[in-house]
Amino acid sequence: MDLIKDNFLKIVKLAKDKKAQVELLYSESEKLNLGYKQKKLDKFESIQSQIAGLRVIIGSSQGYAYTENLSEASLLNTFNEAYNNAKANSETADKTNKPVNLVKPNSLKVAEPKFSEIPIADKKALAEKLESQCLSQDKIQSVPWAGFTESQGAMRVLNSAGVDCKYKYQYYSAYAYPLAKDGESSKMGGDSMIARDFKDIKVDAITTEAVKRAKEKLNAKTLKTGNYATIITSDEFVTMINMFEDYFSAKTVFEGKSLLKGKIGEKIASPLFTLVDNPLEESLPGYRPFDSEGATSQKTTLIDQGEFKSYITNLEYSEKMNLPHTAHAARSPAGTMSIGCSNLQVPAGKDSLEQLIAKNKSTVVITEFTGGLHAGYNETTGEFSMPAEGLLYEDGKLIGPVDQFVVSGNILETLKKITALGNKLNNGSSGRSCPDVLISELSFAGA
Amino acid sequence: MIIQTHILQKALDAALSTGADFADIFVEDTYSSNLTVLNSRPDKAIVGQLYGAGIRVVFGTEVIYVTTSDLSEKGLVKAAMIAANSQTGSDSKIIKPIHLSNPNQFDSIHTFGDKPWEINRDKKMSWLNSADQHARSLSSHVTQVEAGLNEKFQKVQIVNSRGVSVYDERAYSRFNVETFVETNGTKESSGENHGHMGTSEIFDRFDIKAMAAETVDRALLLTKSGFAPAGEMPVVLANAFGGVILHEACGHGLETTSVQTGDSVFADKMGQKIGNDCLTAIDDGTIKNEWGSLNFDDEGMPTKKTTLIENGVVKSFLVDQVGAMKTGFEATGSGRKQSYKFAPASRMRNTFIAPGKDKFEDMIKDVDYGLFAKKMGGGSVNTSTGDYNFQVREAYVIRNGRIEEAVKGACLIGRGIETLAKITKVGNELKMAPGMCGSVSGNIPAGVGQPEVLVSSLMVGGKA
Repeated sequence: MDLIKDNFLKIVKLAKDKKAQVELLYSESEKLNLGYKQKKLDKFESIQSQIAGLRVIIGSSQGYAYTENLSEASLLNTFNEAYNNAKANSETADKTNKPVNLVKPNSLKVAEPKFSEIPIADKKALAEKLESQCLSQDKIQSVPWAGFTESQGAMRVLNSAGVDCKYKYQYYSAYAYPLAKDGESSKMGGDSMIARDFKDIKVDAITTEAVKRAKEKLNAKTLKTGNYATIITSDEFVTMINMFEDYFSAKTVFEGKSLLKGKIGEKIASPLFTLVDNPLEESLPGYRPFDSEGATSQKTTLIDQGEFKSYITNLEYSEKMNLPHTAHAARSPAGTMSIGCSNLQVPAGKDSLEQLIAKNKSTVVITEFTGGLHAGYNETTGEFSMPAEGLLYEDGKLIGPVDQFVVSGNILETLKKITALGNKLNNGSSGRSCPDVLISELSFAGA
Repeated sequence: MIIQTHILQKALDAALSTGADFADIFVEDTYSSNLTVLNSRPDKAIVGQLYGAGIRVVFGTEVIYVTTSDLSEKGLVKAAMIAANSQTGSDSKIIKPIHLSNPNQFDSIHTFGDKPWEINRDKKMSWLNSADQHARSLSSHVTQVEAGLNEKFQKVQIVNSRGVSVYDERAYSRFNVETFVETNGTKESSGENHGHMGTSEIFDRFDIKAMAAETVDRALLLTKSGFAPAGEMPVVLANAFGGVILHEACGHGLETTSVQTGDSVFADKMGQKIGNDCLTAIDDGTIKNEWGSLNFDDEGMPTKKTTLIENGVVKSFLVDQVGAMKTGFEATGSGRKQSYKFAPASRMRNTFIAPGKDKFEDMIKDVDYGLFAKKMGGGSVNTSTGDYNFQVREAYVIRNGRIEEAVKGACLIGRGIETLAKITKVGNELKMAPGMCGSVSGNIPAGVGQPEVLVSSLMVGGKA
């Protein structure tokens, strides 16, 4: 019995009677979070979720509604809410807008993965080790954040044009953020990992790296204000990718919010820099064989050796802006339709971290943007002034850790200042895979 | 009431059936609506329903949390048994909850108007259109306006093994405007928002045009501003959202979520003097219709007014039920979470610095060279190190005791306890502002506030 489909077919009939199109995005998931504090189980969360999000289209106008109550009555009521929203929007819509048409059925076949059953004792043991292995190290006072997550679920798109596609996923993730202490100095560092297979979660690697990152920050000095050659470590370069990835969205361009408007074909980054969005990369968490409208996913090169190649689009903005359809529709069942990247990948360069450091007399290696994008980034202008921590090197030798400074610049200018890329990629646990990046110069405000 | 009491009794019995020391159930049925105007036309239009329950079982200090969106008796009992069976080896005596009664009637301290679904949609769209049209009428440099109205009506039902049985309704409304401008090729944007715990009919009386005008003025100001100076200097923080400094520098570090493991830099500071006499900090969930207020917290405890710091001395932590079990401090009605999908944690409600005696003009006069941070943005803190940061959206250089040119791109960074000790003057005009606070139990409405405050020295990150 397929209650979702049965109820959706009733909704399709209602929609057709009202001369509307309808699409259902259905998600179900189960998540298990485990964490230990002071060697005792501190977190055991089993989060189960199912949600249906409806989009109704009348001409070029769209209305949305969602519910976690999947009874027939609730779903029919949700359709009425979405229809009313679309109807109300259509009354004041720009009549020159092209109608939005839903994805037509295609021959996409999605392989059904086999989910593994891992005994709970093994999962608890892994979570416990994330803390205990950090605590066993010198100068580690506590582990404020450490945990293991098992996620599995399915995403399904059905529409009134006949599409019914579904993919399932299962992945495991683990993280540890130990607090190191030496005298009056306390610093936190961390690492995380995501894998499709439980046995690929390497606790030793996570805790070793996390402890190293915490300890190398201890007894940091203030940094002298000035301009420095800068290496942004691979995990932290993810923050910089997050700054500009929305500029590729055709919706953002249409709304006048993108700094990449009208720049296709232009050199917007160093020739060393290439950026690809690859939704079909199964090892990364942004994997999606089809997008949120049910269109078959494809790999898209956004920047090729510094040249801006492509915006990303969904059906509506592909039509509206006369751009190629790249199948980047992105929405959650509780959200409205947007456009978004999946797995962004920056291919690695040739240099080891040591070689990158040796290229300049003085180099600051940024090890953490302490406020993320939360503090100090202006998406409208691309300007950033963000608090960070790092390591200062002179003549290739480590002088020591530095903190309490702000690094500033403009994100698009920074992409042009890339002079070398590291030869190792981060583990992609954020869905953003990239190497260490050397930037010729950034401005630092410190002591 | 969302679920009949006898069904919750069965689920609670199941949760306790393997020897737990404590159990509670949080049930939620939430309506939400989001309408936006973009390009001077209706854009987003979405309504939705969150519907589910979270069952928490505590064995000693170990906490198990299981959610379900199946609110039938069978679904709830099944989820309760998953929670109960997740722990083995407990030799505690199996306890039975006292007989649950139906939720008590109580007089809410908050007043609500019509529910979100009862308010005419055309009226809501007229508020949004008014913001859009007014912003565009003020300057030919306006290139885009986005206005939005978010409404949430949350019904919650909470029971626990100590006999608590509570049903409550909470309404939240928030209106936001963001304006984009371009002058001579320079783009900038600026946003404003107003939110309260209550229904959205207040926007009939609220000065939406003034809010829109403020976004236009600030965005245009930013196009003409140079970058903020860098380095350590005195900083005067404006009232209202300036209170985010207390929220980041101190508030999170006083939550038992980080205190109970000794991780917070405030963990050993109870009773100690960490600030000047002028500093009194309060977290208050009882302010009528204020953004972070509640009748009951998400653990069913009546909310309270809690003095955190009094004349510079640490007086109280923010304590949830598990925090109380682990630290021995009395719960303060501070257990909060975004939805049933999150286990509750100790969180702030409306956190503010109490008014002092100093005048704003005198604070400015005292500064030879420094920064006046008029409008603050978001921030974050690492409670284990106390390192915090937040963004300044509108700032001015103070020179020789006078407010002079506007600057942009400033960011303030520091360590919580060190910064609190450097608050040397507190003004007399307290104002509150709404914020969204993200932490272990999700994103929740949290009020922040303060009068104007002088910090004798803060690291300002601008451009070197």
